[in-house]
Amino acid sequence: MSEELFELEDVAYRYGRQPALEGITMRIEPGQRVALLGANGSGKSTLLRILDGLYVAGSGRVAFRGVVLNDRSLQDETFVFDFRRRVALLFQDPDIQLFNPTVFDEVAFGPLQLRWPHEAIRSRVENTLRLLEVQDLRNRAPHRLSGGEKKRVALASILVMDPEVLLLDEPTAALDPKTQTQFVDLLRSWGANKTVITATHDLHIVEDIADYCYVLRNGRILLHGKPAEVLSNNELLEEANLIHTYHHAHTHPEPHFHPHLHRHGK
Amino acid sequence: MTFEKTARRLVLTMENGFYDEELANTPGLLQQLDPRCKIVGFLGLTVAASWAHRAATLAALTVLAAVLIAGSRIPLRAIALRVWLPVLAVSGALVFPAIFLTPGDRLWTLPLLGWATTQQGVQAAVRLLWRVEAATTFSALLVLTTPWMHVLKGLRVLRIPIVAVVLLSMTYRYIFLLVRTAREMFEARESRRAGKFQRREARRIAAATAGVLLSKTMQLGEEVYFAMRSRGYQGEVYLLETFRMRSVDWAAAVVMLSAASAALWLG
Repeated sequence: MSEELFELEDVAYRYGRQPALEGITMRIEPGQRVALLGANGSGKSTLLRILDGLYVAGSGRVAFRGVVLNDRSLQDETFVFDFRRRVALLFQDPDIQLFNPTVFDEVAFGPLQLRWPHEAIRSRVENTLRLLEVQDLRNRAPHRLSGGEKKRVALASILVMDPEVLLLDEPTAALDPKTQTQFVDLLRSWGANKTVITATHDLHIVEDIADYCYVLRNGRILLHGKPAEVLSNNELLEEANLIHTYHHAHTHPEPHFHPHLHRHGK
Repeated sequence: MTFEKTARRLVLTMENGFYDEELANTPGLLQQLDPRCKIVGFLGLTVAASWAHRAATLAALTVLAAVLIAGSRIPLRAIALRVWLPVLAVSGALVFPAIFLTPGDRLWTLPLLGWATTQQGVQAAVRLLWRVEAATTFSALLVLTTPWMHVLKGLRVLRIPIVAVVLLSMTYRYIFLLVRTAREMFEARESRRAGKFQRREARRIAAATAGVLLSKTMQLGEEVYFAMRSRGYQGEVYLLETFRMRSVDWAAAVVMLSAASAALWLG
């Protein structure tokens, strides 16, 4: 059994003729908290889908706990059942993820697919609804909720399965500052031994959610390292379109980088 | 822009219809029955209505449908907006030429165009519309009084192949995405419209919108399928509830199948 959770070697993926990822090599260990940073269209979401086994790499090798994720393994029912129990993906657009008639049904969908005992499902769903503070929404239709509520329900729908690996695609996008803070605090407190891989271009949450970062640009890894190292490399962050140089003629004689904001008064 | 308003209202009504399962959860005659007995019973009644030729048979099936609607506390407005009017619009457009093309006794002539309607043509059109409305009403009664996941689960219990159930499930998701995307496109266009379109321009925009709508919906449909797969969906339908046939369910199935058999026998 491999010690690495995910191993990627020279992975490439294309949408038709359009390359989305090229030469991606990375290793992710159990319990690691990783941030995939990049501007829109840099390949973060595609990479998450490859890690979730929704897309099969066009070339290169992707392995989960030593098992290569390819058409063959992803059609093996026993493997898929185990893989889905261990790995969960939060989609960027909660409207895509919410397709059941009520919030309760939505959260119960995953455990039902995993064929848990019914009593265990009911109790687990209730606990997760309470954890995400959406227990009052249990009988509401997901499409009628606000953006923040939808995001919470979408997160509840995957946390309920208690996955070993959580893949998050822009978890704080389109959330108000208070909900963003609650969301980040929740992710920080969720399971100490769990692996969390977050795709984001929101630099001010990186130090709170990750202990290692990969910066992507045009489908390639531009830079990787500890958050402090990565966030201090302004030139490369600007090259990756994650920060801008602002020219304020009146207040600053020289062009300067726009500072990223830190939470908790850092 | 009366057409646009009507279309938007229709889209909103359909969207609510697809999402809301309020009717399915209202206490009523059909809502209490086991989904399997409803699937079998309504399949029989739908086939019988599609095959019925005699006005008396169609009238009897219509009365049965009316009793089931009343007993299940389904508002007439809801069923009219979701089923009868859309079916009338589509089927009416299809059978309209038959009024003029069917040979027979002349009834009246359209002014200006001079097209003659015939008694046989009108009778054939009315009977066809009646059959289609009756058949779709029975199918709609199943869907309106049963949560969608229960319908799918019921089909699996009745040994319908998993491929067919997945197709049905994805078609349902696809339709609601189509409706939602259509509503958003209407709103986006309204927010940027400054004045009336010329007819030719309106036709061009409508054609382009239809193409974009189809493409966007296909993409969204695929995304939803990924989201379902990501949470372990492999086509099988699982529910927290367990189906149990009681004597009342058996009795209902016998009544519906007997009515369907009698209608088929009478023709």
